[in-house]
Amino acid sequence: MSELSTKDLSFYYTKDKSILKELNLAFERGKIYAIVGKSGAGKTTLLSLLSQLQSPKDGHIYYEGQDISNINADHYRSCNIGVVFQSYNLLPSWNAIENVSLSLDIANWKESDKKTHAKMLLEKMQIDESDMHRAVHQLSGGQQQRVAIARAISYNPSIILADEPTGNLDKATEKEILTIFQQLAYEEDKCVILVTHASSVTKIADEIYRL
Amino acid sequence: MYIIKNALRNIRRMFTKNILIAIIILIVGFSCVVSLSIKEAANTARQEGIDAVNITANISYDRQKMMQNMQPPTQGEQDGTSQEDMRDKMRESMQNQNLSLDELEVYAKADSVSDFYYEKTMAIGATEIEAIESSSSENFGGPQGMPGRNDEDTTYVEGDFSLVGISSVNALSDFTDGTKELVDGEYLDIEKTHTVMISEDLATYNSLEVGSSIKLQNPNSESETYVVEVVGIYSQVSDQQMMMRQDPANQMYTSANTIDAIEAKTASDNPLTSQVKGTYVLADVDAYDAFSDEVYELGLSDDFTVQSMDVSMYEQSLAPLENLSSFADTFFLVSILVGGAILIVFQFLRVKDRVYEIGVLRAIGMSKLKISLQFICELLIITTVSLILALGIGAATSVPITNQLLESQSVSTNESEMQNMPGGMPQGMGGRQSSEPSGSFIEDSVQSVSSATNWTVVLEIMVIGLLLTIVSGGVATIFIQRYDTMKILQQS
Repeated sequence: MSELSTKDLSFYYTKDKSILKELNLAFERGKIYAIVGKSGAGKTTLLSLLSQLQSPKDGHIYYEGQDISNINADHYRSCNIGVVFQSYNLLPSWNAIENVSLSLDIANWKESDKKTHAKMLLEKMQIDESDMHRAVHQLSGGQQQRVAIARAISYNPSIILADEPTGNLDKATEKEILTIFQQLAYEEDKCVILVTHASSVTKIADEIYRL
Repeated sequence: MYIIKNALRNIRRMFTKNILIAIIILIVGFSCVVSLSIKEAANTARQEGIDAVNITANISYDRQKMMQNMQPPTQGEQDGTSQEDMRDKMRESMQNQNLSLDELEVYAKADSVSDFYYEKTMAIGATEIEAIESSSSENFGGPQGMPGRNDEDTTYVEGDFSLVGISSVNALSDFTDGTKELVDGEYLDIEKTHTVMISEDLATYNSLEVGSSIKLQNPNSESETYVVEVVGIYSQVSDQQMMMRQDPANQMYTSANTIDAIEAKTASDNPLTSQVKGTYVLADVDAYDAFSDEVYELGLSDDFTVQSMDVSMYEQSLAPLENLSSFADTFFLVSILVGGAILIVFQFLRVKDRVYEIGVLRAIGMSKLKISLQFICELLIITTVSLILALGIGAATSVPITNQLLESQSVSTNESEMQNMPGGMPQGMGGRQSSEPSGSFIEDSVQSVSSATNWTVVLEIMVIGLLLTIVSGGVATIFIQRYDTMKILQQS
């Protein structure tokens, strides 16, 4: 069974111009998916629908076979999926550890030492100890991207959604980030969905959906 | 729990902005503390004072009611007949204004009365001594007549001395409150007759001393005399003006039995008569209130009213504090409204300023309710700290501030009293027979408080702080509920 799927998913801002029309997609664990398309095709909109930041006009989205419109959106976003936004959407005045710990708090993470868990994830994302304690706005784009990924995977969601995850990165950092996604999919059995227009990203994808 | 942790973290991060809010809340809180403290001081002073007052009450004719009942003649009735009718009605009413001792004793049986005593006052003359500033006056129509009434043939001469017969030593309240002081001899034995206490001025003026005899006389019948012995001489401690014709130095104290003996003996055409004034001793204000109702149940006419000079004087003494309390009410209301409005605006600006943060928190799954709670929690922490500081500063300064304002208010009230008192006599003291010089209002009034901020104020401030936080937090919640996460993230 698909971890996440769409059935006849449609979305529009005005009825005369559909952005997404009767979209049927399926996403499984242990795979990397690339959603590609030209600018304005609805890639980011699809990501916002899959993460329940917006609701579809028609059709359904199923998470583990359950229509996500029947799932509490806050719980769904804080526990079931991890989203890496194109602009990271970190709290700039908070440091990396605090940003990651906050997600654990919101997800009602039961393990006692959230700070240690956050540090472990950041280390895994190759963030230095000294950088962990700096306000996020003082970090580079690549470091912020890593912090955003650490935050997205911190509460162990089964699905990782990433919007243009390499858009602002240099080649070396891009490679490191893509390696992280591969590890998440193949070593940790996550369903990784990457919204991108970069060919380097599509190369690592197991399946590519064109919009 | 993490909401509180994040709230503290955010307060620390936005320290400068939060300090500004804290200062505003501190100022508003301080205003509220001072206002509430003034009110509390007024309440405490009232309660403590009234508890300490020994309450005595008298029953007197309700002149105010009589005047209200006397309808002035209408335009068409303003002829001699109607006005004459009105005068007759007034005379009739005035003649019925005294209660007899028997009647007064009926009301003394009220449950609320803890003690009862009376004094009988008689105007009398004397043959061998002279009154100070002799003021013998002639009235027409007998002792009960209206002054100035001249439709009778007889002429009544009122004596120069005032003989006050007391039924109990408790009636010597002027001596217990320090207005008068025994300087020679001894107090009256109320069981004895024909003994008197006289003033030091009268004694000096007439070379009288303890043991001297005075021959009292019916001023309207020279042959009717009564010999009394001086057993005590008193002095007037405070400078007291009497609202009566006789000089206070001409007042003699004797026992009620003496008055009774004189009244029993007098047999002339113009007999000596006395007026009786009963005094009811009441345990407290509640008893006074109960007595005010009980007398009517015991048959007192509606034309009479119960008055307590003690209660009236105490109420009068509280006037500056009451005025200040009333001012504090207004000040408090303004502070709350202004403070509330400022807090709402600040909370609105805080939310607007942190829209991006709200969007991020929503995107990672924090509920709107929890975000609202976090904002409320931040404001609550700032408000609590500010109000604790406000309480501390308020507690330290409210007493001197209250006393300073009270002093100004006392002077202001005193000036107002003096303006309203032609002749230097304070008004508004129903039934007040003797009054201090007009300038002594300040001395009588409550001029200082020893404590103002108490636990009631603390509780009130905390409740107010909580309510203000909830109201302003509610505004934040409304805005947070209205925000669209996607729009925030797209715009940022």
